[in-house]
Amino acid sequence: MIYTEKDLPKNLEDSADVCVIGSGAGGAVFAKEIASAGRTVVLLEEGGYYTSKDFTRNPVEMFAKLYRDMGMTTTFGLPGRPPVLVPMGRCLGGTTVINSGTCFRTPESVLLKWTNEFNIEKCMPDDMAPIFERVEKIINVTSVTDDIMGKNGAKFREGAKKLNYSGGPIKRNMKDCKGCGTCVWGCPHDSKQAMHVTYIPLASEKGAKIYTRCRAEKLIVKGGRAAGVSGSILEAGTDRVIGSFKINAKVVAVACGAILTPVFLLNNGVGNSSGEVGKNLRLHPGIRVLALYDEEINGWLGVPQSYYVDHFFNEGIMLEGVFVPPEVGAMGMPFIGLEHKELLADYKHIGAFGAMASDTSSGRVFSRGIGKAFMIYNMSDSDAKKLGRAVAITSRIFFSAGAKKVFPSVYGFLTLNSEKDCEAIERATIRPHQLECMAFHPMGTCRMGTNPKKSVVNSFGESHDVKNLFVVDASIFPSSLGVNPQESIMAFSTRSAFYVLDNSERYFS
Amino acid sequence: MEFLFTPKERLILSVLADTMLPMGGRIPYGADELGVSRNVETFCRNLPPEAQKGIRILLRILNYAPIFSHFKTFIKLDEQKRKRFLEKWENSKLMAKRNILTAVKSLIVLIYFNNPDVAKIIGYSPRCLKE
Repeated sequence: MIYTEKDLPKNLEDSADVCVIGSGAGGAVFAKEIASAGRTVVLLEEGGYYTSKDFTRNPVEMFAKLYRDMGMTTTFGLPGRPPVLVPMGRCLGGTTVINSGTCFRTPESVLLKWTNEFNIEKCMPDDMAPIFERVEKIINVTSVTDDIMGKNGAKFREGAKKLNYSGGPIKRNMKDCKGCGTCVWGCPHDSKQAMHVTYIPLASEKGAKIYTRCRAEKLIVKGGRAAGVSGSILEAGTDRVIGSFKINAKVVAVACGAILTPVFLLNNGVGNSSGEVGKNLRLHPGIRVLALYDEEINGWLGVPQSYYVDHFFNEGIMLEGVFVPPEVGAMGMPFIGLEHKELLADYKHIGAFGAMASDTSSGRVFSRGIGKAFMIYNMSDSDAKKLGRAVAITSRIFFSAGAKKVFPSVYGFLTLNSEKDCEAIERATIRPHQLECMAFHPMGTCRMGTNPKKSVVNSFGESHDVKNLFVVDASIFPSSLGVNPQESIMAFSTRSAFYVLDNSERYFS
Repeated sequence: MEFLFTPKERLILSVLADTMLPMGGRIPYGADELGVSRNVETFCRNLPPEAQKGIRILLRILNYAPIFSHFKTFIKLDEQKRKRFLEKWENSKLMAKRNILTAVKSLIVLIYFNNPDVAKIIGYSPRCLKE
């Protein structure tokens, strides 16, 4: 059963075997798997409950409804290190409601690295394969087909194939996708199989109680064990505190995401004997390259993130499609005055593609109070070099596809007019300050490991310091994935849930 | 409704918007005639307080910065000088100048191109490949 703040008493008190904080890719999965085993579950979500009838496809309206801080959460760096915009979801289903729906398994090379370098138990490819299969079945992971790819993806595919760059149609969590192109404003047809249309209803069917507009603030600890959560009930639209809640539980799972999970732990002064909570922030910083074609592209029609190029994955570069409506596209387009307007007047002829770096740069999350973070991220010269190379590659593919002009969004390279100009970028030493980046995959801030001095949680997400306290989101990843993380988050959350259930006597007796 | 910006900040925003998006061209509307600065203020009301404060500071920085080169504030410059000033900041070798310009420009263009009349001229309407 899903409750909104209007359904709740002013002072709510409840009990459950497990209390989960956060309803995104990690929390929703954990709640469903625990509830399916017959345990009682309360799932808390700070944001509101929205369905497809609320998704208007208007970015200005959806920023206010579905995004934390209107999508303007930003990291800051030292002079010369660019700020990075990190949009996050704040609604039932979390960031899965506003993401592009891209699904990749954790790469085998990453699983091997985690096993060998971080000593993570039971996360070899053979261990994880059945878990990925389970998740993929529930959220219906399937490849984008030509009828919904859209011309933006199709043209880029054409350009990449001419250059013999490996890639393919992206796999997504979708059913009967109509190619509306507004995935990041909420899927208007429930085709994107986000948490609010998959794991959350499944959890609810198994008896989980889902309380929305409930902001978790205090972790209750008794005798060194997690024993529950308390916090505030918020009014929709204003976030005014209109009530309070207390959930008593035998196990608490924190899944607020890699930015707010460390904030929760830091605010409560728990789980940080290693000093690692909030550290090791990775983002997958990304750049966007635009191209102008003679022909009409109408890039907003079709799946925005429909094709990928993984030819350079071993260099830490992944290219993926991206397209947004003109009001959002304009935010990253150059020129002032009539020149800017004339470029936007040709939006039908614009193509767009993005690239992200598997970063070795590291950042840190600090708490600024309840539910508020301050993030530092200093992009390294080597990651900037990767992104500079990614821009050159993407631009080259655009020219190969027939684009007549490319706008690389790199300072010092306003417009590229031919493939020769791509070589100039590749030869140049691109520095961090030259880049305009966004990032959608924060991770690593409560990393797992077997050494309690260097990690926050063990191989299965349990805090080294507080028994029965789990972290089940992207915070636990010890290094960058290099690919979109939602499937990895769901898989590792499933794994943690199974671990709890396999050790039920320890946790629930 | 409580105002977010002071009258001076509202004026700065309006002049900035009109410089970035003047009348003319294939999209004939200017920012002012579409009420862009008023709608930017409405949008900013949903930002967290620290971000609102930040935007207000950025508006003032952009208004006072030309004093060092032109001995006038931004709102007192003529149209050509205003455009050139913003172009200089957009292409500055200093990252901070570029970021300040981008932050304010982003709000203005977001609201301008969200206008349905502008979207119609561009040829954009949210629909699906398989309707």
